[in-house]
Amino acid sequence: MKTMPDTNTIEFPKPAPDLAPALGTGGYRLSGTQGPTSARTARPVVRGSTALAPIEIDKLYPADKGYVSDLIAALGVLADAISLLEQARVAARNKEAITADRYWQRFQTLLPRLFMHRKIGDGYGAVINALHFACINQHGAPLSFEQLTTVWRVIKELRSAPVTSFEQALKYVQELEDCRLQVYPATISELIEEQEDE
Amino acid sequence: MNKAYVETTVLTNVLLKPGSQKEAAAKSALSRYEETLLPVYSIKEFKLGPLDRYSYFHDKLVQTRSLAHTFAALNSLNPVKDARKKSTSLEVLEAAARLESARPRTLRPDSLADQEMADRYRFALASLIILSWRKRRKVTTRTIQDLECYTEAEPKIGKDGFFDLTPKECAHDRHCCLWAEMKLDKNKTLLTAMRNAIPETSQGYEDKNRRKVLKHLINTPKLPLDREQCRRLGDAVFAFFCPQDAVILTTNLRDHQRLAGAIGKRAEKP
Repeated sequence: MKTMPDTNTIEFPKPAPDLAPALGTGGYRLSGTQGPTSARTARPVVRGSTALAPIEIDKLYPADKGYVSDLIAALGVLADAISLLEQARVAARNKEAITADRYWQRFQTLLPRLFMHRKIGDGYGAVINALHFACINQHGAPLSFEQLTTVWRVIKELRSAPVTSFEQALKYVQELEDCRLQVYPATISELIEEQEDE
Repeated sequence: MNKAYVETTVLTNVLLKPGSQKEAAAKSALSRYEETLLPVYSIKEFKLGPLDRYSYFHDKLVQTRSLAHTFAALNSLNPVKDARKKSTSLEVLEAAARLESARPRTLRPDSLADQEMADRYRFALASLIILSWRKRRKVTTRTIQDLECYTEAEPKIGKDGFFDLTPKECAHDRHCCLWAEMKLDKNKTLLTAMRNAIPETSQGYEDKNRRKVLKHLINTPKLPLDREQCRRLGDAVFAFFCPQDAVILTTNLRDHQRLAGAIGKRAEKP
């Protein structure tokens, strides 16, 4: 038997695929750094009596709309970053160490811009931040082919899902560490040194 | 076979001081031994002390969203501390976090740069705290002497952004699991030797408490220890439970050598 269309069904616009990557658990955000989840339209389908249920105002009109422009801007910069890292890898594979390092240097200059878009989410911020400190701790030393490949892959994955969970970000950070990149500020132990003295 | 019994300070240097000379020294020391043993008591102290302080720093950054205010808040907890040193470390932290910075400068509270620094250290601390915890049992060749009354739960970040490190101590509804071994008659001489190794005149808070708990174990062995007493035993636990054929690896040689030496064991610095 053919069922009648449910006239009480309201289809809300679905988010664009590239704006709705899986948001895992385990992440956290500060106010003002909310990701797109909070800004998506409320429930995709409202049926029957629930159709009259009020939709929370903050879901219809999210407090922070800034993430969309951050996301769009970051996607562009991430694309540039991937391109530079690809060229760095090609050069490194061809034993053109200076050329590879030049591309790596240019990649580094993108990191402050990428960090500016950390409103996208704390997972995104943690990965970009880890790369930032990895660059500082290299003290100008060029990356190996293996290291370039790891950074390239992490950035590629980040671009495919910029609203990544903090748990996923930790996996990326661990991968960067595993390829011998020092992803934490070397001075972080200053925090505890003073405690030990006391 | 040479064996090291890894104390909390060495575990901390390996896990929480990435890129530092202390980390390098600790790792180098561990590599000198054929077998390295990590007692779970070290893990418990690691979480209760250093990891807790790191998470407090992280949470303060979450609360203030300012590196400058976070430092001010931490300084206010201990105002007698050398203010110049604290100010210097703030500058060092800021300089280290900036690619373009050639020399340290003062952060203006609540400026965009201050917020950025706060976020940088917040992200770094959050990653470090969780990942260091996950690596704790990979630092040594073996982890030994599990504590029945202690649960090793991973630090979590709540929806409010603050860390939750519970449980940091042993369960309070049961006796200290170390007590069963320490109270035995055959161990009375060891306990007495350790107590005598702590100068009676010592004004140190830890020394006084440790002596008190050792005295309790010597004089009233049938009275179980509670978790507070177990925590106060601290360094004495390492001396007591370190296998006879192992050496205690610690950066706090002064306190550990005194206790270990009293019962025929040794402590070494990385």
